[in-house]
Amino acid sequence: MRTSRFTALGAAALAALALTTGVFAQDSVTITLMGHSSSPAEDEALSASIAAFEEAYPNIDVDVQLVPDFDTVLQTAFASGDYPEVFYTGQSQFGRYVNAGVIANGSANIETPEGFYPALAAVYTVGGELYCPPKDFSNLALEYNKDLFDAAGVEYPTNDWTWDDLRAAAEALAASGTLPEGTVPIALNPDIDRWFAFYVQAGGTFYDEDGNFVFANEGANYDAAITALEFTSGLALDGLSATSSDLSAGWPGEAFGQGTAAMTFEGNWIVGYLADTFPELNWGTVEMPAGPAGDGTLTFSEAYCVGADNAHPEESWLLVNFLTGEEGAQRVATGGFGPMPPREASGETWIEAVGENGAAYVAGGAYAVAPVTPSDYDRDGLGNFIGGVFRGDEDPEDVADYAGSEM
Amino acid sequence: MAPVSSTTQAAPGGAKIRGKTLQENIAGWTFVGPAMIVLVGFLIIPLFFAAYFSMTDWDGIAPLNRGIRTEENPQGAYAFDGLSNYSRILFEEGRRQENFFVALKNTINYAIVVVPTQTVIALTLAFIVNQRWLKGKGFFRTAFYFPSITSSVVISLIFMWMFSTGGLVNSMIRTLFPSYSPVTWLDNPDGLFHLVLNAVGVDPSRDVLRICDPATFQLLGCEIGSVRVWDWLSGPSVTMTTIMILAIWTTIGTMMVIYLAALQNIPGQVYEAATVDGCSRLQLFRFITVPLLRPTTFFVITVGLIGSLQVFDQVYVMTSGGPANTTLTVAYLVYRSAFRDAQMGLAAATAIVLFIIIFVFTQVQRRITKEV
Repeated sequence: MRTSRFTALGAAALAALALTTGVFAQDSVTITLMGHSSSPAEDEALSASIAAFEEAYPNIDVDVQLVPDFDTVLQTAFASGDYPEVFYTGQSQFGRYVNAGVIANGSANIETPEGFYPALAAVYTVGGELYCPPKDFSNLALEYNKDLFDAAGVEYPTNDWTWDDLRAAAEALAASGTLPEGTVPIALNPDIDRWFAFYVQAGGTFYDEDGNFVFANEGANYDAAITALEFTSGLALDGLSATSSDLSAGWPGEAFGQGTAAMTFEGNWIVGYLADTFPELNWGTVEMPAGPAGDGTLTFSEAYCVGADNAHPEESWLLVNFLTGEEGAQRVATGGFGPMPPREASGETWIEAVGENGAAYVAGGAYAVAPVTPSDYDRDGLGNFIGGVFRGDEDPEDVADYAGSEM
Repeated sequence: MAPVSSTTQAAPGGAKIRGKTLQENIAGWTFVGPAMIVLVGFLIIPLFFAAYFSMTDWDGIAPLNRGIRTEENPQGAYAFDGLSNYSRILFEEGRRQENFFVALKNTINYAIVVVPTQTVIALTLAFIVNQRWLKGKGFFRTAFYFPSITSSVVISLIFMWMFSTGGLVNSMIRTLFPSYSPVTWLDNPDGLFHLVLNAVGVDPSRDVLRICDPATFQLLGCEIGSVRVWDWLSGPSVTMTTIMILAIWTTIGTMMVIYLAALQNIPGQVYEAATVDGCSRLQLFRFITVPLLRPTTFFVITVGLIGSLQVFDQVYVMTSGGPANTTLTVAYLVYRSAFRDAQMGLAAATAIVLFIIIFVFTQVQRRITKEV
């Protein structure tokens, strides 16, 4: 008797176990989100968002993988055909991934496609359809060291500064004799993105109506490329600016933080960096100076994309909409870390979170341009020729010719 | 009868031998099996894959399980392109060709300087630390070998810090020569011969360097493989030289250990006999040590040559190929095409060309070393 009762009990328990696991196996879905680690604060905020999502949708598990050397890891995952359902996509990678057919078209699945900054949405739009909702972005602005300006008796930069004002202030700083030994008015690297920024201010464009990449190719664009190089390299050749390696820093933002440069042109990633590393620094921001063709700044962004070969597209879009919807953007904004929320409505919240230095970056969103190069554009090759112009070894014309030539 | 009996007697013996051969075969394959699997899995198969993809337009992103792109399968990952990737890097004028030949020029410069230098220094060091009279031999051997066992990335980062404009190297030189104006080691594309010419007062103007007029023998501006003759001749850039110093410093340790082992294998009697015959110390080195080390020298040069034709990590960490592509090496170009420009087919073709170059160099060098 006893034995049979135990057997019955055991059988019932087994059946219950099988039932419950069966139920879980049917309803619970795991989707993978692959990205790269940002600042510790951002990583924490992401885990909090994911936890909130999993609470709202208890049947969906999100496996967050933040990997080092992210682009390469993702590329090899794509090639194998077995890749994550949701992943970050930088603006320079987006075109490549679309060409390779690994990104799902989001136009039918993005809940609130309106409300993103137009320049930002344009980056991730192909043929009028928004593929990936932007995650966050950064704009370039002019950062200045208030103490160095005060000591030299030079007026602070303003939002309506032009190139001439910038140069005049740099000359005044240099002439004042108050800059400490080894400190320069401007930290500016001969990199391609700074060239692009001044190129836009000089009236250059990146794409024509047919979608061809026209940077520095001919006519006004060619002239703008040269004007921009002449202006920036002129600052370097006249000793008004120096590169970060000249200033023994890893990047211009570090030189600025160390106080060896009175001004620099960085994006809002510098906000969190300066607060963490140089909390004592007394600094301010204004919008980028206007060039001969008016205002211009660059925007750098990332988006959440959903994979094309995907067993769980519905759940993936639920997650992406959760992270990039109006509430998602508010969460990015209140976090107040480096990158800005992708929706215009959340700009004010972000400024409140990071303080008044955030205003110049948000203001740039109105006219910023995303410097996206074609997928096989030899950016690195071009980028390392600009240094020659800054040293006076190369003519701006030669580098512009090279940049505008066919691949 | 006798032949018959001999065959009948031989039969069981032959079976035995055959059985033994089979056994030996099994044992042999078992011993080389693991190595074979590794070799086939990680070398032979990837090599064939690379050769295959070098003839396609694959971008390195599109999932391979989608198959070949045809009219029926427009979603396919890649299509066959014949030899067009090879033609783009070798024959068609343009930036791809220029990049390849610039990289080839830099790599050859690098090999020409690094291989002989590190071989000579390694032999000298090995000879010194092999001397009986030397005190603290263990210390010196460890000290010279240490860079070789340290991560090349870490060493590259330390060099970046030492060679930065305001870094240790410039400060030291300035302490010795107060009038020294700091060199930007890591961002200086000027070739060494160019600088030497400048130093002796010849400063060829940029315009002269661009003239290509075979009729008047002004050839410096002519292009070979989209690279100007002057750029072929102006030597490694200052930044490339910095990377060479680093590479030499890290590799000599390994080479020294190899030489040291070979030196200790030379029997003492040979030296004694030579001394009895009246050889001086220098003659001992010249006529006994160096010739007896020839197999080792062959090995050291081969390994050094292959290593320097593949230099990648220092470039990746320190310069990304800049300034002005003067530290762009072929191996780094392969990486850049594959993972930065989404041109996996082109990258594979570049890698295959690099393989052929290394193969030819090694064969040539083998001939030379054997005939000497």
